[in-house]
Amino acid sequence: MRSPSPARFFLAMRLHPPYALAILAMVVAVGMWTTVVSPAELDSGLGMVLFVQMFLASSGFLVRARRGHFDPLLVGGGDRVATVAWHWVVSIAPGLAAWICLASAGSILGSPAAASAFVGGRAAALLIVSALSWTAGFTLPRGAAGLVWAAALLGLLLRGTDLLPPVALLPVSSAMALRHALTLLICPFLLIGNHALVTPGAIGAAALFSSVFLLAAWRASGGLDVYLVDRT
Amino acid sequence: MKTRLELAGVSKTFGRHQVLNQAWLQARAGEAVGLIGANGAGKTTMLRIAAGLVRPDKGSVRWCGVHDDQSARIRYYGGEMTLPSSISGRRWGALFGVEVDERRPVGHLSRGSRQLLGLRVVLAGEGADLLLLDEPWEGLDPEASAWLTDTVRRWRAGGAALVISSHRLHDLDSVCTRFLLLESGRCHAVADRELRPSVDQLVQAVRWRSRA
Repeated sequence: MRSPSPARFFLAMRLHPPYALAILAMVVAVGMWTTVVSPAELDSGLGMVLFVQMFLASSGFLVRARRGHFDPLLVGGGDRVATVAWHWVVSIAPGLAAWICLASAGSILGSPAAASAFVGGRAAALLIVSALSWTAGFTLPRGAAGLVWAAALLGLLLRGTDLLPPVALLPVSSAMALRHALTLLICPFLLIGNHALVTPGAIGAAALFSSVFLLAAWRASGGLDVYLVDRT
Repeated sequence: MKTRLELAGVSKTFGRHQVLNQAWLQARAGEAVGLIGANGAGKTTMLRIAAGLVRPDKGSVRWCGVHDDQSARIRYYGGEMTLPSSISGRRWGALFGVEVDERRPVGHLSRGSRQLLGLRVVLAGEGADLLLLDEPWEGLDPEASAWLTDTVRRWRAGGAALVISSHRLHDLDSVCTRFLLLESGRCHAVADRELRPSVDQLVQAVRWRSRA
């Protein structure tokens, strides 16, 4: 018996349900089609991938760990932080691959949004969703964090909440940039499309906060008890 | 014989329920320790602490490899319910380099087949210093039980230390060198193998402790 690498183990574990991957494939196909028809419409495809990524990234570590599914990796008190980090990588991999696929197509077809999808506000949106959705879903069942997040966004949308005040009319203060950063953590979709109202500082701060949350979750995993909760 | 596993003064509380209270356990190379006790006595918690999956509130856990500069190679099996149901038997085996001729998903197998699959993978090959098995005989038919008993004896003869929890006292008696009774969160040595405790005596010990 040899010990598998965490990446190979989590890939074999099928962290994502087949129907979610099928939906992602459909989203990529539709996004590709709209980008080919009109390269300026790359954002619609990226927005759909970002939405699906909310669910894919919240793959839920602890629930499966406490069913004993990850015991072979966690036995012996090894490097649990590295194991959990690999779980994140495998969880976000399909969404990331879809994103790269669409952005590359946009880049080849001359979409103006393509560069920002690799390095810029759109890339920050993917990072925020990938980090926060996984972190929020760490202790929850698979997909639950994505569902809660989507419901919260729908609630804000139905209430007509004005998430971003028009900073273009105001002198940009650090407090306003912080407020925008927090807003972007709640709704990173604001970074898809025209985000002239958002300052680069706010985008950077939001990306930094989400990374800090992610690293904190990895670090906290080292002290978690992986006891069995489902013996049936 | 070199100590492979040492739990000293281990306590663990879940909520208000104290599962282990100053429990101890030592397993040396070439011996098999049988962990017995009533349901809920804390056998699984003890094994998961020994496997490094659960952190004790108090006390220490120490593992030793063959050489002092090596970390111990530990294998733990928590039972068939810990196998992921969606993966096929063949793929589960392939993950660990073990050939398994079972294409069906684990969730489609009978309980006994799942148990045997998990045991075949965890007990395959060589190269473990410490084996921790939780209720390994549960669900196995007589043929598979005999295979497990032979395999455990082979591992013990090879110098591995084993800690096995089970209610199947006859099976446990056939492979173990020592027995520990877990009761009220504490460990009690039942008897050494040299004293040849009969299964009846083991049963009496469990019953007596349960009534006390």
